[in-house]
Amino acid sequence: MTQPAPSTQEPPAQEPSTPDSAAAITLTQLRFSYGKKVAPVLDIPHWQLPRGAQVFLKGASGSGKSSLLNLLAGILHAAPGAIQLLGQDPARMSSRQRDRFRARHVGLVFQQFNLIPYLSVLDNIRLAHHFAHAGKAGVQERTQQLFDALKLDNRLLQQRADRISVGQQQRVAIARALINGPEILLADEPTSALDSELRDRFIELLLQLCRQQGSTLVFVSHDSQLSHHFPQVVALDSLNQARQVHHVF
Amino acid sequence: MFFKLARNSLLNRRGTVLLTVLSIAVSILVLLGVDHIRHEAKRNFSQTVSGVDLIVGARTGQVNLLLYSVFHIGNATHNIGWRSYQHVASDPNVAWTIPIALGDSHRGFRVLGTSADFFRHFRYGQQTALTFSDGKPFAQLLEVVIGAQVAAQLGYRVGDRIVLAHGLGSTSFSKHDDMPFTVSGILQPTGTPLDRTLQVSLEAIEAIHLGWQDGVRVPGQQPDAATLAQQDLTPRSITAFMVGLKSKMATFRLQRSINEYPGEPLLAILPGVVLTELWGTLAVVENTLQIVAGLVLVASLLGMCTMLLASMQERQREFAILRAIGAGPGFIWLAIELEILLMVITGMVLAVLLLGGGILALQGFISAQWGVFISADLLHPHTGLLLLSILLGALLLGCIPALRASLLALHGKLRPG
Repeated sequence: MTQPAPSTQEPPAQEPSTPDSAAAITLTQLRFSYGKKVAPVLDIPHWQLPRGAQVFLKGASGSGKSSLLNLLAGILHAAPGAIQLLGQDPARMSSRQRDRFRARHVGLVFQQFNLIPYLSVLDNIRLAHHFAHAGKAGVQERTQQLFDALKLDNRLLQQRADRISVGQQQRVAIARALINGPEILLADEPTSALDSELRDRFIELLLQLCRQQGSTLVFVSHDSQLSHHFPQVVALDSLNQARQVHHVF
Repeated sequence: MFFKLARNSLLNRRGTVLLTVLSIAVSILVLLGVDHIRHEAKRNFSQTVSGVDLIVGARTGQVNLLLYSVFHIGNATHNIGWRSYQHVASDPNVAWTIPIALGDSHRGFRVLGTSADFFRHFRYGQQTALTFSDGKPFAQLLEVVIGAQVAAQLGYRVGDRIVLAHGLGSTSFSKHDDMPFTVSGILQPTGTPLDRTLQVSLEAIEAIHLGWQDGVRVPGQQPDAATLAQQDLTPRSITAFMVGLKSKMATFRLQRSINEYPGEPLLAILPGVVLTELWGTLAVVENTLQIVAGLVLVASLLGMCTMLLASMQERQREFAILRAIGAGPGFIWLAIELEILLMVITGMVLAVLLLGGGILALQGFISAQWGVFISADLLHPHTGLLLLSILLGALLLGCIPALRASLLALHGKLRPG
């Protein structure tokens, strides 16, 4: 197990402490369905991801990956005991605690449209910082570090988020997701809007940054061409015992 | 940050937001306007005359007599004889009288023929007496006192010479240009129709009509100064008169005896009572206007709700991002409510500015047309209450889209696109 790098912004004491020994993600008997009479979309007997892991989770659309990501982010709720994130069970938290936990410990990068279009790039990052309730200090410097690492121009900070290119938006999304130093980063097809040349550079930057931060990365994609970047590749189908229902949103 | 989010979100949809704000502004404008004008009209009417116990004129409708004698709205159908006036004025209960003779004008402003008692006994507002900003009451036959607005609009000063016209209307063909008047004094502004009148003596009214018959000058009959001095200028008739009593106790007795005066049909009214009667007749109109204004407001608030609800679908992505970075449903609910707050407050400010500006611009026209002075001071305590309840109503209605947005974010998929 890789030793977790100390987060630059350790949450204040009121937060229940997360034991270092705990895995980043542990799923035990996770069953999930949209309604009682509907067949489950997810049925995962057991899966564990150690801290600092970088995993490529391969799944076609309809394989239940959106549901899994929503569960890991704490937006959808599983039965108590089914999910442990950093040793904590989101099902046992209040909705406010869940939101706070997500803000501090989980970063999310989507396929596209990661940023609030009418705010500046800097304000988008600040907003994410704001929800972590970590105080104002350090956002500027941290944004600076992330921008340098992601090879982003500082002049972008003052631009409206929808005025920059898609490639830039996706990189800003990484900076936004990592601004609070989350232990877990969930990326959902973050490269699908990028062309192949940008795609590889993007993934390399993402992996490098996660290594530096000690963040656990779950990279979900249907595109197995990307899997060679990752030390660990898991097919969702191999985890999920649920019958394949094509749950298309 | 929170405020910035709501503000930028609104600016981002500025087209629909602007229209919504405008519709809110217009409806608040209507509501406030109706309310304000109603108030101002009442305040005006009740402040125009004060301390007058009875108003006496030829027999006509009570409201009509009040309107033409005090507010200079409409015209008298008949005059009353000088003898009848003398009879009432000599009653032992009468402390003072102010005769009123209307019918002439000067460049659109009414001329009021009266006596020196007018300046001594007339009260307006809270028992305020008339004061002069310049000059003094008329002393000579061909002297005139002018109201503040007359002086301001026509640029007259004490000592200027002016010509009166026969009849009302700003362009009269029959002018009393053979007898020009000299301005002897200018009254302080009163905020009543007096600001737009010129006062001369009853004798002067009589004098300028010497040699006139049926409203037309008879050629060759103009008196010169010498004959004027010898003429008996006691008026034969006046339009109406105001009565002040020594004791209020005598009011109803005197009113009855005037109404039963055998010499000619007279009507005596108590201004306060008739004013109340006037409000009574206008109450239906007033209430209808208020209901319509209220409904217009409800319609525009519902329109705002519709606009917000319609935008929910396209904004789903935005809410998903907020949820993803740790915003709770409560935050999204509050963000929508803040947007509503901003829109409604902007609408209110716009409405107050438009109404205030509109009143300032139309003040002169309204007072010229109807003799009512609408002040541009919109901020009564109850206006604040009205605005506050509009705001609360809007926020309450806003719960519908706000709740929908927060639920959307909760149930909707996190992954946008």
